[in-house]
Amino acid sequence: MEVDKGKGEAEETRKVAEADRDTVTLKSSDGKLFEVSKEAAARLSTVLAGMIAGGSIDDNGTDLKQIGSEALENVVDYCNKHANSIPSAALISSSISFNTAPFKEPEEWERKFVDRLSHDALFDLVEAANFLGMERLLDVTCHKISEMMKGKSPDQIREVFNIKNDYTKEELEEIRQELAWAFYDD
Amino acid sequence: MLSCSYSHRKRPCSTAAATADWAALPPDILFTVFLKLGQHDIFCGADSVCTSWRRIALGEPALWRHVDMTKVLLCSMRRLAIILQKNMNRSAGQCESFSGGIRCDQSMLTYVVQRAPSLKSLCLLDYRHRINVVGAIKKLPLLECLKVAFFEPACFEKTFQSVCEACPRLKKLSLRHICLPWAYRNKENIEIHGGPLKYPIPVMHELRSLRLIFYGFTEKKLVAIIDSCPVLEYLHIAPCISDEKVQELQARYARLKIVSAHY
Repeated sequence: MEVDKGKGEAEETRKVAEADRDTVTLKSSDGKLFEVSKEAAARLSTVLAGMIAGGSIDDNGTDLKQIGSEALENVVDYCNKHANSIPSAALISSSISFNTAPFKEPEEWERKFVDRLSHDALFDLVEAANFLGMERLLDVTCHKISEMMKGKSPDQIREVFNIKNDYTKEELEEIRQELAWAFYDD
Repeated sequence: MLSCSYSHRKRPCSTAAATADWAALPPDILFTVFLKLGQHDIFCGADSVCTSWRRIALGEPALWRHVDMTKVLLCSMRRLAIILQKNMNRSAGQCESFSGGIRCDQSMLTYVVQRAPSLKSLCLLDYRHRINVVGAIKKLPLLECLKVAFFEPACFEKTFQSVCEACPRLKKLSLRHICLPWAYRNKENIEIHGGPLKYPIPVMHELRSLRLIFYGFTEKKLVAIIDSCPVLEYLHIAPCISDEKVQELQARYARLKIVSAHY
């Protein structure tokens, strides 16, 4: 079913691309095509901006081999929502090297956008945002991931993210002592 | 919506990640997540989740560049000191800003000065710990920004002079004298006299922003201070002089933005 939808979208995309070059067509690792506004793509992604400026955009679908169709769909969805819903929202460049740097809290729609994602989808999206150099989307997704860890013990975090405890016995004892040392008063 | 159906297709009723390997999250992404999470939450859990996460938490001094002890609440002084030690160790000498909060005492400050030689910003609240601020800042040659609130300093003017002499290259300075409101009304507690500065300050060549919250500065003293700060752009003072005098002063120094706060 997904394949059919992909083909349908592909044809549609080509038609639109011929008529209107205000968009770019992106191709996921599994060959699905997605269309996104050229302006939004260039504004939100440093990598896409570079490709557009450098003329390495393929009208038949620019290959993004590192990004799966679901993640790319979310990326495109984010770009379109960003372009439509809040055109005035200026991107605040949040310098990563400063804890105290002004990070603009996610907007309501951005919050909803990441909240509806499954853990898998969130993981793929944050990697895609990183790969495409989408600073704001990276900010929003990383913020969401950090919220999932807030106030949780190591065990709880492992459960949330399905992470295996891979410490050796000795390391574990060292960490246990460190935590006890710092967080339980005599 | 789409992603929900996606995950349901794969594994009905799944709550945890099905296939994503979160332990293998690229280091630069995890770094950003940790920055947003904050130091205290990293301590409390995130750094002990798995070996790859721990490598980032311990091996990235940039995560610990800005140490803010005011965010560590509800713990004993002993624990506070341990948390500070760990913070400083992880910052590996790269700590740039430290905010001590009400419970920072002399031993903690001494430790910070030893472990953070390149500190640029220091924020302290001396609540009767009798912290030797001047002694500390003398050992911080790169300090640009200093913010201190004193509870009942021996003599505010003298303290102001000592701070300026210890750090003549400061860019931003905020000194605040905190004392109980009725003490202000008792004029004997405050040395108000019409003369110039009793303790003149050196020329502060780089000072751009100055905040002095203290009621004892008269107009003449303020003029002397402004004249010693050739590049001063912003002056914030407590209403130690009348609003008319503030306007006169503002008219005289066009380069300066003078704010007279009412407390």
